[in-house]
Amino acid sequence: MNPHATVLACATVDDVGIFGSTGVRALWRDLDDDAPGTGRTMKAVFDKADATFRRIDLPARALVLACAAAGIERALDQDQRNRTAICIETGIGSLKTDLDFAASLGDECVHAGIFPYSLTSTSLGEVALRYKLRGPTISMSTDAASHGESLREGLRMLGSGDVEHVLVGAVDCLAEPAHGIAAGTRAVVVLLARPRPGVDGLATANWPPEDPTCGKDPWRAFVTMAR
Amino acid sequence: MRRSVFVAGRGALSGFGRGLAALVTGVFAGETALQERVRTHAYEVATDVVGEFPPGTLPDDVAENDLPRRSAEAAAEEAFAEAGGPDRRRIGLVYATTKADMSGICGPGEGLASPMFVARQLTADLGLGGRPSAVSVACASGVVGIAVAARRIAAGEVDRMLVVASDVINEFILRGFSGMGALDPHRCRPFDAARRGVSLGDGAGAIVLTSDERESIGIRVSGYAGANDACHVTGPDYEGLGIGLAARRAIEHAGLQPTDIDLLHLHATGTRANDKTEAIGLGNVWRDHADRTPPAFGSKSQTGHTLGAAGVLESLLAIAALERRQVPRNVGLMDNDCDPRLDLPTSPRKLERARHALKVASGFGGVQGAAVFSR
Repeated sequence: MNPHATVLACATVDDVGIFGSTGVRALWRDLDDDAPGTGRTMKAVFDKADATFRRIDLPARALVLACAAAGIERALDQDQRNRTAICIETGIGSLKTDLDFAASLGDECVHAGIFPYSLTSTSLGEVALRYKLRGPTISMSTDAASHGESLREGLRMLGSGDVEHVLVGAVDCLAEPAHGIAAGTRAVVVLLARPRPGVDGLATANWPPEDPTCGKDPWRAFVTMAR
Repeated sequence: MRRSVFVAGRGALSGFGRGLAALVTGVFAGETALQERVRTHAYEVATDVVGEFPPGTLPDDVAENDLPRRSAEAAAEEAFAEAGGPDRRRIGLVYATTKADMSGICGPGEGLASPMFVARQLTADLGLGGRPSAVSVACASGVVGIAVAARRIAAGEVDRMLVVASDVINEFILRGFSGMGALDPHRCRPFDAARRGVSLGDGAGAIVLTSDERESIGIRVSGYAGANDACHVTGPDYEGLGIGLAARRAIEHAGLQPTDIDLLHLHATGTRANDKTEAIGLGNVWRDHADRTPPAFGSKSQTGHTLGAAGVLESLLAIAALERRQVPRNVGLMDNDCDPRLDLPTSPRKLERARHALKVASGFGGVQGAAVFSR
């Protein structure tokens, strides 16, 4: 199987800033913020109120900002979003939340408020509820040899006719080094559509290489496109 | 044209012990594996009962952090045995779990709660030659994992896939649910007016899927789908919109109508919000056919909620119900205070027709999954 799809929108959030195919280009140094944003970021960059943004976990913040920069709401109408799938991959997942919650196990009361964010699907849920994406939701775990899993799964979903649109991407976010993993933020989101006559989109997304030794980052082209 | 996907083998470890037979026999006899905590007794949480693997299920020297991997491996071996020992060099893996190995989070180990870390280990342990994948969508992981694997076979990428799901209760999980006030102090009672929350359990389930009908146990994965409530990250939509959408989509994916479904295996956690909204959402699926709502059952009052493993273990129970032409009773249910359109037998119910079973599951993040199994 080697399906392809039409790229309708894409965006990236990293340690430099927020970049999207809508033309958004906001640098953290200009915002006087750090990745992946604070309670004022949504208002400052997108002029949009988001009362709970500051309370959500770091991967969710990065994904929510990336979706705003990609202009998900402009790219799809609500009927389309009701059927749009989300398929996002992560390497370290919710490591910071896991460590924070585990640290609270020594206390009389655990930090129950953050417990749901120890599940990566909760971060995807924050995206789904903000953009009203009601298609299938899949959080995939990856390592260095399996980058691009969510892109492959998204292409499968489109190719098999199971959905018309899918938001694929990758997110990893750590505020400070832990377990030998460097701190840093990188989120990429790409909105894909099943190819249709008359809909050119930004580009065509092809099946990413499956050979882990080839050293190609399947997300690099989308990051370049977003920037 | 999508290829058909068949079930070739099954395996399970649960609070009823090792093996699918122990699970099926226990559930259909109306027994419960929820017992006083033993392995987890030191953790201060708001419940006395859990569905731990009983002694002897796995070797006693297996550390708690290693149980997800070892139980998954044992379930997979049972599934391969039923499948007749297929050539593993051509089989891919989908591993489904919530957190998997947490040895590096809660101790000095290497496991950083990365499902892919365990998927790699399982691939090596089991001698699989295909690519491993790992999905983690909370308590919907198992059902979503079946869909991910089935889609690859249906697309013609591979001929056989192994889906393994496992989760084992530990202090992190028990105190997390306890801190959220989500645990029933006693055995959970899904859909009952007196229900107070969920009971947790250890679990591992495995399914070998194949494109070859000759390798099948007579069961087909005829439909699968998903949805998201897009409403709240831990609470369900008030009207069960997401679970209803997932159910409708899976039935449609199978090329069926709601009235074709002969039995329903529910998510049925025992929390007030889940059961209430699940009943509404699924009741709406059969809104126009109220007299033909299929009998429905849950099994978390018997196994405990096995989290990421639940979707696979409970799919195996849905398949068992098709094979036995019988829906077991809903253990712990005495006074249903949820939407009465859901048909919840309180005694075993023989089925006149047993062709199609629907399994549904929900998880944090508003994730909903559904799969249809057909004879």
